[in-house]
Amino acid sequence: MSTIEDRLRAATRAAAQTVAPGSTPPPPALPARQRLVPAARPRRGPGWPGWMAPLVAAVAVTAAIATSVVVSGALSLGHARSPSQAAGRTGTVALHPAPAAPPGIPAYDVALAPGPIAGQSTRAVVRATATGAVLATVRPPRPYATFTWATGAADDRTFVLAAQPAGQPTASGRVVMKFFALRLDPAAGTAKLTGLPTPTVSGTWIQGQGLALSPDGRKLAVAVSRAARSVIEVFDLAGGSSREWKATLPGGTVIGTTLLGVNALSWAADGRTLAFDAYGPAGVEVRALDTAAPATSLSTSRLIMTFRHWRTTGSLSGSALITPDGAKIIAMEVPSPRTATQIRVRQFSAIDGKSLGVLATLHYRRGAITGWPDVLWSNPSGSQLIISTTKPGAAPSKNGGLTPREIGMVTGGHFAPLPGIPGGQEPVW
Amino acid sequence: MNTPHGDVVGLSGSLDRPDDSENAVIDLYRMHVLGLTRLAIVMLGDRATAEDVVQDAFCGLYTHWRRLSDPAKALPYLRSSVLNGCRNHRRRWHRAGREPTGWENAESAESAVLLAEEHRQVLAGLQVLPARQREALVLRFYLELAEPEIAQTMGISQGTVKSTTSRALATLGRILREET
Repeated sequence: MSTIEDRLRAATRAAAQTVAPGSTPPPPALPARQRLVPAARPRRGPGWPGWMAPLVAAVAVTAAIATSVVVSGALSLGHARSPSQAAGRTGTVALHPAPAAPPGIPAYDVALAPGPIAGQSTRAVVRATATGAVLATVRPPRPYATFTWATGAADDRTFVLAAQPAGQPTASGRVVMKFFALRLDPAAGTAKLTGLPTPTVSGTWIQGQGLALSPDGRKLAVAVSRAARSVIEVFDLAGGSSREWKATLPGGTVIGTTLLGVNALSWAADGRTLAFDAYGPAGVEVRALDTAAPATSLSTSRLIMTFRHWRTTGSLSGSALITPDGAKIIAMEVPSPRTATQIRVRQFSAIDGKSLGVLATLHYRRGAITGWPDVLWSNPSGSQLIISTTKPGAAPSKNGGLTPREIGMVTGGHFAPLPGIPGGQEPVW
Repeated sequence: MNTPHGDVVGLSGSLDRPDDSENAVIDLYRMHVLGLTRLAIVMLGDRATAEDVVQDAFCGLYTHWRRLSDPAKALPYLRSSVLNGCRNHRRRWHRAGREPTGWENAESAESAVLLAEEHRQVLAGLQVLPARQREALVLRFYLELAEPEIAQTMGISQGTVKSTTSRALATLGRILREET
């Protein structure tokens, strides 16, 4: 005798099948749009706020030394070993010189520009992080039509883009993703897009939950939901091998604290420890996966900490990030989303989850906090961060809509805005 | 500000216009109309109303396109709109004294062939449930969404999703046992 759940699945699917593909009506005549909120947030000038300069300078030397330790040695992204593995085509575009950036700020980022289809971009832009100037634009080689995700290595020159063919997902929910490396060579003035020798990630009704390139550029971690079961795949880009970790039960672990968020994964510089955040039975969990250990279940990952209160206050929570030195977890904390007037940027021990203090406090007017704050980038020690959050100080939307967002750098307890990309996804470093 | 554009690899064509929302919504419609119509018909059991609800959802998305902070959230927004639309139509039916079709009398020959008696019983039982319970079950067992996604779509907490789903399964089980 089948269970109620099985009977429900069978009955609802049978009911759904009564609507045959191709039998639906054409698109409706779209109504005149009401003007509700400004189209985009006011663009900030390219300048770096004057008061940030001494603070940035104060940490620049330390950051530069630490960064040089992390990125020393050549990156070794894999190369196609046979024509069949190199599904993507290569192409080189001009990379315009990046303007001089204040110390400590990454020179380059990659952002997926808004495209005609939600969540899919037909071009990726290489930007100067400090000014937002577009230095190069790339599009996916045929048959791929859109970029969906991006991630970067610690050298600030190597990025990976995920691409999909046109028309995905199909009516049957089939999705195929292919990964491309984007390498910046400022000396030669070029940006080169190359198909990676990883197999395509495919499946039915898969949904992206995370993408992260290890700091040394050797490993690519991908988190997807496949048939309601979270899976993390790690590709060894140099050796060509791959491994997979699955959630024990369908729906038992949902990676990512934001719906469709792709910032759920982060690597420590050892290239072995992969941190991820996920909905667990007790709240939002931050966990560490030892990718060199033999286990194949996500349940074997180490629980670092749980944000229990975030569960009871709704889904307003941000993705956490492990610092490249592997010592700390950085997370954005919203004490009570409906009434909060603060978002705190906090650091925790990556060993036992104990609080190591508040790095910065962002202030808001009551009711202004909307959306999910994210930690996007950290220097090796976590003393400099780039975050994405509701614009500090912004007035609440009068129409109950979303307050404008802003990306910015957190250093020495202060937040300094950086140029965003209106309507686009958050940039990656 | 100096914003030079480099050359383009692969596909050629003009740069995307940031405000090309009409095309974006039409593309979304082509991509998701089938899935959303199927969701609506599972909720309502009435093809014509299901199509109306879905079209209204896309019109609403277009009207409020600028309020979307992230285009990737368009599909969750549409799902929520479809559920709201279904709920509103059922309220209208109730006020007008019309009961949901409940799948007892499938409207078309195609539906009649496709829907076995067993399926009809389960769908009829589903229609009897309170709106929130019905939505939780359909999102969980038809769309196979995880609890956080259901919570976000329905605008309730994960704990409420869990308890609502549990209660709904128990109620549906009781209804089906009584019918047999």
